[in-house]
Amino acid sequence: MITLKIKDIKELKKKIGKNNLMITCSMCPYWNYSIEEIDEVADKLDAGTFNVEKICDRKKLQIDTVDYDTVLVFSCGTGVQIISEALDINPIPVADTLSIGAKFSGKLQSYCKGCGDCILDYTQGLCPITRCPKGMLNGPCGGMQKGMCEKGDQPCVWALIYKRMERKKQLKEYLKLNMPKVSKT
Amino acid sequence: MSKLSKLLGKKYLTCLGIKPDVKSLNKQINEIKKLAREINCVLVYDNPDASLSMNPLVCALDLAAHGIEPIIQINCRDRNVLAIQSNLLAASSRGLVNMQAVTGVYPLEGLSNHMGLKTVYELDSSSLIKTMGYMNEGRDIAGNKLGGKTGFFIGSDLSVYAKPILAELHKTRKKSMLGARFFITRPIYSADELDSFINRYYKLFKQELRNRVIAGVKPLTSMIMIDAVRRQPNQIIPRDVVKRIGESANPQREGMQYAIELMDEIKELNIGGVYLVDDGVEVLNRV
Repeated sequence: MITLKIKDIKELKKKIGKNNLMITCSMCPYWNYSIEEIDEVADKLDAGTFNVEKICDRKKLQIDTVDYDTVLVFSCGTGVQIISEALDINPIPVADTLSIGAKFSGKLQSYCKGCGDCILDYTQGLCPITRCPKGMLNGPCGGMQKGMCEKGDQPCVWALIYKRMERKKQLKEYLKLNMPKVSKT
Repeated sequence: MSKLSKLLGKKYLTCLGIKPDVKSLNKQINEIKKLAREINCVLVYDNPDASLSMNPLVCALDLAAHGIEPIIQINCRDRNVLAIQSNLLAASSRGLVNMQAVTGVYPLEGLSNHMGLKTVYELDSSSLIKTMGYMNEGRDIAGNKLGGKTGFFIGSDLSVYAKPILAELHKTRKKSMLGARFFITRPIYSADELDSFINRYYKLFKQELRNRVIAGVKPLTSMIMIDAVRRQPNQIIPRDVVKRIGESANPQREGMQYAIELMDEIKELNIGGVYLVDDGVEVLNRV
């Protein structure tokens, strides 16, 4: 699923009027957040809610928004654009769309940035484009510390790739150079 | 032609690492000029810590004009492949050939003055080394012919505190195989760690790294500085050093003294050389 992060509520409040509508998509927001959390956002934004079943499946939509000062959309960036086109309005996105991820024991993990150039077969099935902040094709960088990223908030994916290659006795692969798309041999 | 390539491994090198100073580049160059006899090379940083400083090419040109051998650092964070190669061609056209390829630290809170920066990283240090190798063969990364061959003397960085250390050792091997001829370390705070890294590298790959390493020394002249350094990735200062400088009546003098002692210890390792970070001019004036 697509991972979403609710924007700063204080900043959102600066953009809204008194009478607001928050359109939610039935899919990703409810996968990322609990119903209670989503209701809480609507409360904080003084917004009534209108749920649309799977926005990304719906080209035609009819929602009467005339009475509202502001229309907010809680979905991924695709959903916001579909609503904008279908209703010919300029809605405010409630969340930032991050990467494609998974959820284990309630914890979200980013796995894929949708870069359009999958190299997972070169990197032991672990994506450095998504899971390294620098998207390094040849890692780790010198900032790797005790197997963690220099940003400190996640494991260094290149340390994980190294450990797998070492365990499988495939360090020759680790010494191979990966060049960016622009490179021609 | 690179003077560095001729000296490295034959003479113990004393170098400086500098951030080009926008306000007083001339003063900075004059200070370095005074030390021209003591120093062999000056490493010019490229927007270090993801904070703004002047493009290193201009500073390197000024240094070269005064007969001082520059090493230009090139990070992969701030430019795409086209911009990096364009800068490399400009440097080459003016005879600037010593290049240190680094990936470039990610903009970190408390370190970068450009938080939220859009980073590039189309290349990383390894692929940048390869790119410069291509240019030395007379072609660019996309396979187009260049007007001529560049003569880059290529180096990179070394992070002796990175863990797992085997991942860093193999990465260093990879860089060496790609054509990195010298390795400039991040600041180190004890000679033993570096010695052990070099020894392990030799045991693993039966290749001598020792005479190709230039070790960084950063004088720690106050507790505020020590605290700031410790917040940075992979800057591990031994506890007894922190205690010694922290408990000193004159931390600045004690920090300088420690830097000088560390330089002596490093010299005994018989490596390629040493370079002083930031307050280097002051330390060299005292030696």
